[in-house]
Amino acid sequence: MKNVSLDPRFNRLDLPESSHKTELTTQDAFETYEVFHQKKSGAQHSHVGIVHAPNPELALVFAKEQFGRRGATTSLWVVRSSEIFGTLPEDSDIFDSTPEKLHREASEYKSREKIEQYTKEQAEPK
Amino acid sequence: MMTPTLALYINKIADDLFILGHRHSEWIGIGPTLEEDIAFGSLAQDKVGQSLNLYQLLNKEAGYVEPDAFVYTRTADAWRCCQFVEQTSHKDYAEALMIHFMYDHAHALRLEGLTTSSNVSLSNLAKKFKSEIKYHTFHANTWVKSLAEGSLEAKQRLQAALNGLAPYISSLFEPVEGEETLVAEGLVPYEQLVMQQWHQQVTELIQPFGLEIPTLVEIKASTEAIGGRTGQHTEHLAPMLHELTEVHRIAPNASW
Repeated sequence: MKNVSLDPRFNRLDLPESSHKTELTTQDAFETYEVFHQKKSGAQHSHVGIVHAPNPELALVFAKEQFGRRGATTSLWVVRSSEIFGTLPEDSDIFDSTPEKLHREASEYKSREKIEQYTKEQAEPK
Repeated sequence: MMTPTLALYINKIADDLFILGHRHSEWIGIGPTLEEDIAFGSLAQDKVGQSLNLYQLLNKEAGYVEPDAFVYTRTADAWRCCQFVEQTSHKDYAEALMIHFMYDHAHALRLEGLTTSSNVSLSNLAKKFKSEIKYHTFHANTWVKSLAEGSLEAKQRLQAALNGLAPYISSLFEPVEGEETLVAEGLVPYEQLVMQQWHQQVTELIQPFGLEIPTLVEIKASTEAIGGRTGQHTEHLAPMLHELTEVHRIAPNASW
């Protein structure tokens, strides 16, 4: 069956009949690249997502389109996803801490009262 | 107020940008990859945006009608774009890419010349457009390199697109009548000079991949595509204008 669209651009493409099937091969699948975005000069690059691309140069072009168009951007990095070393999902328990070692958690150090006391002392006229 | 000759020069650049911007937008939804759809969409927005700035300048300083009326009501023979930017087979991404690649290198060099224009409004706009066009040439160069270094088929399709466009290259540098007075007053760069710089730059970029463009002598000698600046266009322009003015013709006074 011939493809007919309301959009004249599709009709001009002379697409093959809809029964026509294209077999995808593994070569058709682009690699993924992790994208890192910098908001202003000197700031850390933050991970913002991924793009699919055939090479690093085009990954950078696609990253610019996807992540550099809205909001301030001074720089983008792309890194081939396969180049990233990381912990495995099943190893997420290595980050757990037992309750009796709360002294290792920064949140357990109560300094608010000391800071307030110090601020008050500094504010008082000598 | 600017002279009618300078206004015609600005009109020419604005029409090139608008027509090519619209051609870029024709790839939205049917580009080779999703990201490339987005890329051509944003290249289109930049170019149509630049043309709008120039049409506004013509409206303000040369007494032209306001931009929407100027774009939506002119018939093909009143357009001053070059025949190069009109070209399309509607289905060949290699062709769209080569038009984008060749036009944007010419546009970038022309803008470089216009940054020192003795007309302050024009030089300010040229400075503003430069950074956008730096990305346009980067985008085009990256694709040309990736495809030319890719499969043999990709390289052959690029070369075929280039060969098809070859007769139209000279029109990219078709001057407006009275160009010499504009050049003498330091208003605009000489198109022959832009063409020489362009040829050197484009040759240096594509020669390493084994792609070929006509020589400078051949380009200068080809005159069959000259005429866009005086309203002589190829069969591609009128249908495009018909399509892009469709809504305006239905509701001429609608506001958006």
